[in-house]
Amino acid sequence: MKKTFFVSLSGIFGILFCLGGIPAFAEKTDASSKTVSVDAGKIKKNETGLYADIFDQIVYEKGVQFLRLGDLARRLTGREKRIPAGDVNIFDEVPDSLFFMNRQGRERLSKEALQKGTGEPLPAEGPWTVTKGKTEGVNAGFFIKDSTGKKFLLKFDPIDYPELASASESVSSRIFYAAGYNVPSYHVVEFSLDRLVPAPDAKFFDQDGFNKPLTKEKIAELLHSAGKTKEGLYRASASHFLSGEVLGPFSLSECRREDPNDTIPHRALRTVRALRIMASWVNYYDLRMENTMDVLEDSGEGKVIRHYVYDFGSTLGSAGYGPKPPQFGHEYIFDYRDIAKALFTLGFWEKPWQKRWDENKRRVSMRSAGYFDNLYFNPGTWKPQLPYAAYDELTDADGFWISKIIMSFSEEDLRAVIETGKLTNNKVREYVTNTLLERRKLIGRYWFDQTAPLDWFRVETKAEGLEVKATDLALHYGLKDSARYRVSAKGFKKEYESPDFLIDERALAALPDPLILEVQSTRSDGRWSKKIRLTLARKEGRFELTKIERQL
Amino acid sequence: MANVEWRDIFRKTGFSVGCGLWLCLVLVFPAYSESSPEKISYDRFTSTLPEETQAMQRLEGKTEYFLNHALVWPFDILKKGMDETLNFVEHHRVYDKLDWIYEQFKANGVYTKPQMLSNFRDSGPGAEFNFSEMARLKRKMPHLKATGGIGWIDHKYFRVHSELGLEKKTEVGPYGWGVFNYEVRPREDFFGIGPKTSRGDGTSYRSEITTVGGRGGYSLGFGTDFAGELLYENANITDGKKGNMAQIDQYFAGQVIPGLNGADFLIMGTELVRDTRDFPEDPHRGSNTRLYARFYKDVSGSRLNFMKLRFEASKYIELFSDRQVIAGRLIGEHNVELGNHNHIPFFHMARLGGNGLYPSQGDTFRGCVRNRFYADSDLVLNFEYRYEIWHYKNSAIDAVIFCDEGQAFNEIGDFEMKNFRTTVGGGFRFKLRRRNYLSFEVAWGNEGFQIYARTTAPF
Repeated sequence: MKKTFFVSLSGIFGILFCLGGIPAFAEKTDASSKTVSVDAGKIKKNETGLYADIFDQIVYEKGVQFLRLGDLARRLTGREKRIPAGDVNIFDEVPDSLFFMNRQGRERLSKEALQKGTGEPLPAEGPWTVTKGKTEGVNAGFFIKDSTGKKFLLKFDPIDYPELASASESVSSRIFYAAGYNVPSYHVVEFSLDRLVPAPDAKFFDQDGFNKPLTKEKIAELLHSAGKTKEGLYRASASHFLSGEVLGPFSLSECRREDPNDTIPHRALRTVRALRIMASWVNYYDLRMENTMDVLEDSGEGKVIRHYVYDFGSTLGSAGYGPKPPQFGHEYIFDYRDIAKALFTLGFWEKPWQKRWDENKRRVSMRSAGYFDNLYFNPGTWKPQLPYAAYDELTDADGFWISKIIMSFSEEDLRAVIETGKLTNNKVREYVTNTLLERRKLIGRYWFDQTAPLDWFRVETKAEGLEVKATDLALHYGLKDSARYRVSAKGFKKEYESPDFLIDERALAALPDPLILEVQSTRSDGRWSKKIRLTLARKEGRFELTKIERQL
Repeated sequence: MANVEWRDIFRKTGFSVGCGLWLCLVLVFPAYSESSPEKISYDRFTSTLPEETQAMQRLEGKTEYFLNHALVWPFDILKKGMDETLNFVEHHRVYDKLDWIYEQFKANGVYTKPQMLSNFRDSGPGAEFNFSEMARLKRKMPHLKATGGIGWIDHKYFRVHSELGLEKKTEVGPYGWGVFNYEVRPREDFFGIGPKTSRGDGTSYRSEITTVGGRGGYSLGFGTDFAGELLYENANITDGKKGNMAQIDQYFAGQVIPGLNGADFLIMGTELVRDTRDFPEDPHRGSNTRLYARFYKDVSGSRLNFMKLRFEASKYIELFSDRQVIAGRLIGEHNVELGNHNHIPFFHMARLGGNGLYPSQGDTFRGCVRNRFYADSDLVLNFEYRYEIWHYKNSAIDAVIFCDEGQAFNEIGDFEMKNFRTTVGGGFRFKLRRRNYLSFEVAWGNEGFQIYARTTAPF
């Protein structure tokens, strides 16, 4: 009877545990339980473009930075060099929000999940009605409606660089999505010309800048500059239209004041700041305001504004219209500091990108891979095309946070994602994979070295004292071989050879409550790292970790 | 019985299910749960924010927001206007439309050519015309040269010109055309003749020069041309347009200023050119050598017969890469009177000062004002170090450091090394597709600073 009872109970518990575990596999929808419905009538649409972005960031912001008294005071008084992130929780993690959803960082995604990405469908079979020509960018593109009425944007590869842009969009968008950012879907599609049927009122901007009717002949003419497969099919990236009302880009500095869910200035959002490091990984040099998007969506309980990043044609080795210009990633489109450096060194200072470009004999060796390598790649100094306040405010704690997400992508994961780019040349596929893997490692090594790379804390109250266990992610990912650790508290300081340490009962009795422990590890140069502060509260004789703070 | 069967079944299946699910829980679940290898003792993704963060948000939301925006607010209005304009330009493809209009003009033989003497203040519109393209004769008559142009700078300059003939179309072969040129300079600066004049003696005169005639030559290949010309020139010199300057005849009343009343000339000239520059408007390699001799026969009886000999040689060398270019130029001009009691008219003398020949006229000597020195002869050495400081796609900005050495002199015997004047300076040149579009330069010499804004580099 007892055995039957135990067996039955174990079965029931087993089922309950597994059922309890299922939600952990399923993706959480969002933080909608904490979001407030937006008054759609009050929402204003934002607008920007490349010219305005350049003017704002290169001319205007550089000019008025001396008039921003708050920032000046902050920097001059040394109160805080950087603004602490406003979207981190008590454990220095970013909870799910309308900007970011913990995916790979929460649980390692399966190969299928990584490849599926957002899960949006491909355009259906049958004719695709071209409703208009693409309005932005320089390479050919069309807005289409498939046979089921779903809308997509098709963007084609440049003729001399087959597979380059479409593969980059597919791969990088999935990496961003898996990391936790909101992105539209991107799929590589191949099709014959006769599938594209212009709508009667379809128009496009011709090279002369005038809007003209888009005819079948004109589509064929525009596609003369588009890349084709060996089978003679056109190859493009197809991006499904997001459901909801597009409100234009979001600021990379300020919040949207009319949105009750968007109360923290974006330059103080870790998710926005960390975009710089995500961008450095996939070489997304064009990650600027125009390539972000707010969408008014129905969350089920009301309207919310979700924040997206899109247009991944300028990632990896691609610039959309061809290979990435060699200076991007190294300097801004107009980089005052580098210009001044070149000016005052009379041109004798050779910029890293110039050196690399010259070493490459100023050409791209693998056309489908574009211009993408890691020589002279510096994760700490990598720059997107334009400087933004959010990227400048990036802290080492932010860097650690996103780097551990980046490092959580295994080689298998990356191979799974890169498969979706449908690169036909094995050599190119291997090259892109290895470059991304190597760059991931360089990023991890750099950012883990800026702080104590300890995470996944376990706290246990034992008879002999308090045991704190942590994982040194730099060791865990093989980025360094060994490290030493220093734990300090008021009247207590001890060094350990392992990130797991025990504070005995006697020492513990002398320490205040709540117990605040500062933990450091040795950096690669042997110096002590910045501190992690652990706050442990004593509850019913047991210690509980109540807060993790990282020195900025 | 049924109870027994149920219990048996449950015992068997329950045990199996239990074991299976426990196994599943123990083995499978950890593999797909947290990215962390071990269970951690806190809810990592809790939405509880630290108190300090909340306080910081409040501060950022109010005090810091105010401090950061109080002084910037007035500029934000300008920014908004600018952004809207730029968005309009981009989204309505205004640049493409303008480019299309420019290309349409070009396709119809009209080319814009802004005129700039020294800077934006002395600038004006200009255009060049290709009449054979306008008349759609280019395909039928590819060798036909039927061109013209017009340029205007308010109070300073007006020019119309046209050419008709056969132009060079192949590497080797002849060419020739008739020319007409009419040029008025209502307020041309004049500081006296010779190397020892004072800038304080500034006066002005008006020159109106009309030229008709023909030019022809033969291309020998490898960038080498040999040409000749026969021209008739009417030079009308009168008082300059009044401004701050005195009039030339009043100020220099006691001195002989040859050609003050103008003259008519018959000009015969010959020229040898060898041009091996890689890009004529932004050369990095090669050289350009020009040697010419012109005989001016005064047909107005004013005894202004003279000969002009001029030598120009420029050389361009890439230093360590194509981002660093050393450019040097040597100019020598010597005008010599032909026969006794003949003089060289002052308006055809060698001139020194300013930033480039066209449309300024003076040889490049940037530390002095335009046409600062008039003399029978001059010798100028221009040295430039050009290096790239910015590059994006087909646009670039070069910084330039230059040094000009020059002297003007009346007799060969007056030439002395110690008389060389030196000016130094630097600037920036914005280039698009290896063409100079804007050039800003500041030069310093013993007469002070000069600031230039031009659409072309001096050489």
